[in-house]
Amino acid sequence: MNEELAARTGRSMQWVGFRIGSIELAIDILSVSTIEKLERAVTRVPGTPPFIDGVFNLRGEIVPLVDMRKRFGFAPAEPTEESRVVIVHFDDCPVGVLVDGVPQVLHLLETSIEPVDFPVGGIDPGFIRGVVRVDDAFVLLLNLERVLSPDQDGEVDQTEVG
Amino acid sequence: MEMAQYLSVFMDECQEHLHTLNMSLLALEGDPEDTSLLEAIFRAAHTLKGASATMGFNKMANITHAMEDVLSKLRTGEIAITPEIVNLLFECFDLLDALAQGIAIGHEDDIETEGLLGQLRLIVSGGQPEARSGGKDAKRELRPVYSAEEKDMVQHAVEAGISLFHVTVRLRPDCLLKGARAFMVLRDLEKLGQFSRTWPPIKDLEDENFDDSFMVGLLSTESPDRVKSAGEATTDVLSVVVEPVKVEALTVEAGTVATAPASRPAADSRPAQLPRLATGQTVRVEIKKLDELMNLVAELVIQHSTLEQLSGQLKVRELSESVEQVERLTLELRDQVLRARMVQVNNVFSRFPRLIRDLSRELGKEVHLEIIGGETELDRTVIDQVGDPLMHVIRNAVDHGIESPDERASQGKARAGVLTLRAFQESNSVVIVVEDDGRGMNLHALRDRAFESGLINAAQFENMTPEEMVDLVFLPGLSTARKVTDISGRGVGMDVVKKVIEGLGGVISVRTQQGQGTSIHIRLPLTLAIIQTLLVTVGSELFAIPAGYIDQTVSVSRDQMQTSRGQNYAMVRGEPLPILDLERALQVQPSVAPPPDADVVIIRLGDRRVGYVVHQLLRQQDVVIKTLGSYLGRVPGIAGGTILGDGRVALILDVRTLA
Repeated sequence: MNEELAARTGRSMQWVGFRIGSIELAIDILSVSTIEKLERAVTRVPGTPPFIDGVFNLRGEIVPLVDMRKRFGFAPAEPTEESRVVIVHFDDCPVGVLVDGVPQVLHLLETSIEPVDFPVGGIDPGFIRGVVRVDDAFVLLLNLERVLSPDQDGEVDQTEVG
Repeated sequence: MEMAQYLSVFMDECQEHLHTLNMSLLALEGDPEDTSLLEAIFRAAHTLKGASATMGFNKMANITHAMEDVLSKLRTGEIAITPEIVNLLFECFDLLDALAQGIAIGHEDDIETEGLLGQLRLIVSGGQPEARSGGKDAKRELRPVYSAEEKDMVQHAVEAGISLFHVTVRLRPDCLLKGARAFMVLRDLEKLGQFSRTWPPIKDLEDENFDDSFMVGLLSTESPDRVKSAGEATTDVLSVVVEPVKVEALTVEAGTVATAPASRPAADSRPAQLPRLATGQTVRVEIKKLDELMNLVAELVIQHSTLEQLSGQLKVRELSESVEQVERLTLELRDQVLRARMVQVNNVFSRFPRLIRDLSRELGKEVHLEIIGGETELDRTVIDQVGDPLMHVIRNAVDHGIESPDERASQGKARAGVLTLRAFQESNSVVIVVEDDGRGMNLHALRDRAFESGLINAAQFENMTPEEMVDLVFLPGLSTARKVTDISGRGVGMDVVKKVIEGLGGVISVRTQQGQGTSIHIRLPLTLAIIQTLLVTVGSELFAIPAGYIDQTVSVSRDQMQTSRGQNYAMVRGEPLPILDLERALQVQPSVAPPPDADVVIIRLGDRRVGYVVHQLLRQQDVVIKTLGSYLGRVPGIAGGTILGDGRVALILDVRTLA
């Protein structure tokens, strides 16, 4: 309902954009709490989904780290100087999301978001809320809940897409 | 204070008085003649009334008010103490308890109170309609008496041109909140001057320990009319009489206290039999604050291990001495904080007398409950969670364990069964034992049932030892109860109890003797926050093993390890020991060249032993357990994590789910 209303009035939304490989992605800023450098060693946790790199110490709290490359089935890469951890909240639990480029805030008009129902850049449409053209590039807006759910892959009913 | 803080103080008080109410009711049921119990019940109801009315919780105030009416008639003997009356009082307690819980979550309004209120009123009106009569309630005379020092003070004031008034305030007889009203009147009067004193003393006014009137000596420069109108500003004030007094006319207290209204003995005549909950040299602290304190101490402990490592590298004598001092202080601080979090197991045990009473009535059994070691202390977090499992175990004992009086008599046992609830500390654990002298378990029936339900196979059936048969009670979906009752045996059973206890880092075991009874032993860690561990490496990774489960560490030559039926064994001191290779169990990248001798940590889980093959034994270390967060949820084999001195996270092994 809200989204519909916002779509008609053209409300501006803020997203945190980042890069994985050459693909531009974004997370709703409302679910992001901080952006950190990956300074501490990550401790592997056995018996967790393969896209979870492990846990790390975030100012005294133990936080799991989700590797976006692995989540989307991309070739793994060593973290670089540019790598960042976006701390998001999932069910009130902080979760670190490892991304490639230094994130930046994007201001997007709700009306400019277009739905997708086909894989984009090798990413399953179930993970995507929509796509937006920024300058010459496309930015994929992520459905974070689905991306983080361990028991979900991207596939969903058509009705739920968008 | 914020409203929320008032509320939490109120809730604490509420719990205390409800506890007193409950205990006294139970005692009263056994000894209706004991008037001191009635007094205690009355006081509890009275205090609850005052507190709840002040907070604006009207339902609770109304119930306690109606209870008071009934109770005062019980005190005067106008109404006899019958089992029906005691039952009604128990119902009141239940309702108050429910209201307290409702208030805590803001749903007081949803709780229906009219029915019980009606019953209470019916009982009151069934007796003498006159609510207050007889010599006992005759109005107490107020006589303004001063001590010599007080008179001196008044003298000085009057010499300085200030007038002394004796203000007599009479409240409406039906005023519900006498204490609060008195307080409001005093507050208004105090704006006009200074009190020489009050009759009765302020303390009694606050406690509503007065009839409808009280008197205030006010030193003021205001006119009597002004004082009068200030006194009348509060609702429920019937009349205010202001009387200017001359110093010469003041009565000075005689040496004896008996005639002085100011030291009316009412407050001191509390019967000594029923000890009031200790309120001596203590303060209430929110558990949240203690948690925060604990977190700070935890960080201190972590920082200390960083310091220790650095000082180990730097090798400066003064530094290492200082670090040692810091260590001593940190550990002491930690112990003190942990101690502050400890509460007596009585906090949980105190609900059980009532439970036993209700259960035994319902089931037509006679049960005598004995509580031993209720003063044993446990961490608050553990206490909070252990109540439900214990309740379940106790229900089981009364329902299935203890026989009916006739059955017991026919076996030459006393008609009343004995249920013993015992708690004691044993090194770093607290053991709680629930023991009954009932029929015990029929182990073979248990085994048969497990077989019939397909929980064990034929081979297991054949080779089962008695110990293994007992352990069957912890299998989900197995209950030996012949019929499902309201009390227990409805799906949730000992398996759930076991899960909760193990979730707390505890161990539960059962001993039973057919015809003699059953005892359930629950061993709980003293605290959840900090545990002693052994740090080990597996491959290149670091893990912490809780020291509580470690039996010993040995070095075993890899040649001595052998595999039989898919299980690795090693001969240790001539006995086969099941071996778990942690590299494989924890999916660690295998070491390229394992040394010929392996370090093995022998874990003891109840009667079972298993050896963990590790790469390296590092050191013993106290660690602060932290959760891995709800996102990962429960990871099999991992109990949580801890942050080491260098900031790295080490996982703590959960030996119960790993082995």
